[in-house]
Amino acid sequence: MTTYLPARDRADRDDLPPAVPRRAVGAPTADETFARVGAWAAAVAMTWLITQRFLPLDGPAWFLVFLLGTGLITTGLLTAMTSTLVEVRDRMSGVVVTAGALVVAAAIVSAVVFVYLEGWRPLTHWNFFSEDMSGVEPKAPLDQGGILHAMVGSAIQLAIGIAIALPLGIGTAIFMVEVGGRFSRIVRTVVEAMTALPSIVAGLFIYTTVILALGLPRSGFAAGLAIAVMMLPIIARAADVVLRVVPNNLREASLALGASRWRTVWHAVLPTARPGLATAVILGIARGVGETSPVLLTSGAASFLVLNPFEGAMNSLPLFVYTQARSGVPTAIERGFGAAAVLMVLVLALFVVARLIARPRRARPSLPRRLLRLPVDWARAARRLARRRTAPGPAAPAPVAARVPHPASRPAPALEVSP
Amino acid sequence: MNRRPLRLLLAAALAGLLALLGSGGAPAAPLALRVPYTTIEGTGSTWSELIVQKWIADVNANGMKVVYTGGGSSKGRKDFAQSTNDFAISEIPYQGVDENGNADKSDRPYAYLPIVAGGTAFTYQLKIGGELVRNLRLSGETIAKIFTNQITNWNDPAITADNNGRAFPSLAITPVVRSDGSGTTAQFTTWMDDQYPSIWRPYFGHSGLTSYYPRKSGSRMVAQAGSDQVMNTVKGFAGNGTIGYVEYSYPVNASYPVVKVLNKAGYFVEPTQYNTAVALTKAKINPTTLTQELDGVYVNPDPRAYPISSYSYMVIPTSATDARMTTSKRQTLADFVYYSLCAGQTSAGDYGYSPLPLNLVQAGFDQVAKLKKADPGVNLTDRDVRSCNNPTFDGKNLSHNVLADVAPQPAACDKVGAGPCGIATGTNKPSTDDPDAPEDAADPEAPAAGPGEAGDPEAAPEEAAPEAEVDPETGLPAADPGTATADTAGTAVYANPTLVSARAGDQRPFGVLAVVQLLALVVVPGLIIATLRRRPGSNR
Repeated sequence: MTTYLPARDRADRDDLPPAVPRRAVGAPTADETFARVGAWAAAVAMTWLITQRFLPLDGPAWFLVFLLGTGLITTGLLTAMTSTLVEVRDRMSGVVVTAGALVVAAAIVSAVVFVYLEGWRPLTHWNFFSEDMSGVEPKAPLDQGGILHAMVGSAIQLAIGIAIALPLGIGTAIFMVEVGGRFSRIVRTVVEAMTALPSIVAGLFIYTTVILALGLPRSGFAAGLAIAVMMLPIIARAADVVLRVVPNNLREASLALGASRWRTVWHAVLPTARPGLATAVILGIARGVGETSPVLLTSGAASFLVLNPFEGAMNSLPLFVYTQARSGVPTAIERGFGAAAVLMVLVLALFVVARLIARPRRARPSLPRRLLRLPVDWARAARRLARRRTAPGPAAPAPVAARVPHPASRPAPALEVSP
Repeated sequence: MNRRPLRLLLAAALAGLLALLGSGGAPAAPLALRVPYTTIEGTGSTWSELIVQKWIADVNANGMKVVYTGGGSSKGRKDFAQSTNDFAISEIPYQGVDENGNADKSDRPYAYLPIVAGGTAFTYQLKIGGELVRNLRLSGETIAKIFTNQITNWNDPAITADNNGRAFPSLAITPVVRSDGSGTTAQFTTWMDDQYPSIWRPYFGHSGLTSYYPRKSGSRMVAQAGSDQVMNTVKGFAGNGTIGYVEYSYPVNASYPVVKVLNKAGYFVEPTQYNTAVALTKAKINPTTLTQELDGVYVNPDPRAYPISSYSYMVIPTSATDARMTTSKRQTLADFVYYSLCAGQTSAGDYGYSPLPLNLVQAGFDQVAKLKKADPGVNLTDRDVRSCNNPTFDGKNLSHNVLADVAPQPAACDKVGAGPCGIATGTNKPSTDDPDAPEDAADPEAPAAGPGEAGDPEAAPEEAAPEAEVDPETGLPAADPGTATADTAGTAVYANPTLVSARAGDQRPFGVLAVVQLLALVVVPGLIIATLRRRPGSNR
């Protein structure tokens, strides 16, 4: 079959008039642009009249609510005056969908931005990171005291929590996926039920068992245990999902090569699922680091630095934020917001570190090695550039592409027998 | 275990340092007798948490490590009964059986001692023509009726009468109460049960106090968890018409007004540190149960007394065989309590609390002595009322009542049938005609004026009570106290209510009408054009 192009479009015929620039189908006409922009201009004007002049509705919240309403009306109206009903419907649903997206984005962004707006001032004082609150009264100015004790406490408690929840959680997931059987279904049900466990219950559990029954003092260790209870179902459930998507033929191949079940899990299943498992751990940490209520019950809010998790009361970041923000004293509230900002940065840093660790091993050399190799790479690139300049010709794209590190394009080498 | 001698040595060195510094002016006991301090932990009331944290920060310099974790009075009492803390702070004593039928008692031997006082304040948001009312006055009966849904509108004649004929606009009252178990609720309901049983008991269903405020379905009452949430609701965006009860420090910190409550002497007073402390001079301690008897406080005839004043307890373990307590813990606790009852009370006013008067401090020391009875190793030398650096009395001369000299008399315009005063409330400053009154709450030890010149009537002009502006940083007067700053500010800020309130009612329907007309003006022509275009036969 052959395709015949329309003759008049051919460029080799000079006697034809020049082609009319083809109209872009998707682009709006001037009319449409006017309808769109004009509608919103009218909406802003009307909203201003309604909220600031006619009704006693001060504040940006009411303005935005009315802006959405009037925007919908004017957009629909202007479109109806020029176009068909289909277009009206399309334009109005476009407004609604965009507004919905903006609301969601605003909710997320404002949660972060609000914390930094309220708490940026303590962050400008160095002592906020290098001192604890011992001897600092609640009304003390911001150049006294800090959150060192809370940061250290959080880190210690989290470490205890991970040390307990990580092996237990991944072990549970391996049991559910690799061993299976009747019990695994029960375990899975229990784990899923535990994900919805209110955090206060985890705190109460540790409080009644460890503090009341065993008579241990309120301490960082008890808080770490409570955090472990919180993290365990999250890690187990996420790891379960990840292990289930490991291709079955990997397991079969490993077993066929004569590996035992344990070796299959250790050498085939777990390495394949490594990024996913790291995500599971991240989810667990993210849940554990921000929990206030289990910590409130199990560790006291010490105002001084405590390094021994078995010794006694130990503060942590969420507990510090909680106590400061509820005190009603302006500087204390500001300090609480500052600590919340630090907590967010800490969680972000944890995510980044976990993502770096979670990378498949051979897809990309480690960061220090890459930094060391950087001069070599530059020298090589310079040499290549020089060669290309001296001998112009068809540049070979293949080696260039191979040199550029591209981790995502290479699959995770799960069962590579030889490098 | 070679760390122990080192720690002992360190503690001894600290104690020596302490002795050198001569803390509190008390001559230090021989070093050999003082046991080293150790960390003590307490839990309980969030109402008292702020001042306790302040004391903890103060005693840190003396080498005392105290940990206090708020979480509620009920939790504190429970923790104490379960021996998981060294002391608890609670607004109400053990109840035997709580509202939910659970046991609320302690088998661990204990003693109550008063630790910090304060007034239950009523904060509100009431706007007239966009301006916040800052000088509302209410009698106890009106308050009780508001919180039992008997008075539901701000234009109620009872409220008008309390404000000397000043009428407020027609606006529904939204009482804001605590949803969680709270000592503030307990203090408030104790007062209502004692003073207005005919109003409170039919609402509650039976007599007595409660930590969980009862709510009736169909009322406008809103419940919030925690004093901070109540405060946020009242001062919030949609808070017009709300009134809630919180401790005084919250409205002070939020610079929000509080209600001036009528006392027995016929004056409307604010729960400043002085008014609360004066009221509590009539507090009695039941000799058998060691709990507070506030009947005398509620009807204290002093014109300065704030009726709804109370104090919170510290619960300390008194058994000699207490498993958790050691000599060093008892010593730390005793010294911490000593600091709290004496020098620590100086900062109470600054934090929105009130210093404990002599009778309560005396009672506190009687209880602390039980620590020594339990353990002879505890050293209480010079730990008595005479060496006490409390701002409300002079330890050297106990018959001389410092508080009566220092606490300013209420302004004349605060009396029933006078005023209302144009002075804003919620500023932690007493409303008074007394020019020598200590204005700066941070400095209650300011030289007390002699009784002769204190009540100088010439310094009290009719409306404008001179309120000296004091710079909070320097403590220096920022403006001349003689110039009536409150007068000009009063007329400017407190707009005439009747005029604006009359307009506020009309504004809304006309506003809505204007909005509807505007929308019609825009929409109708557009719709006509759109339908004309669509009509068959039109030149489309």
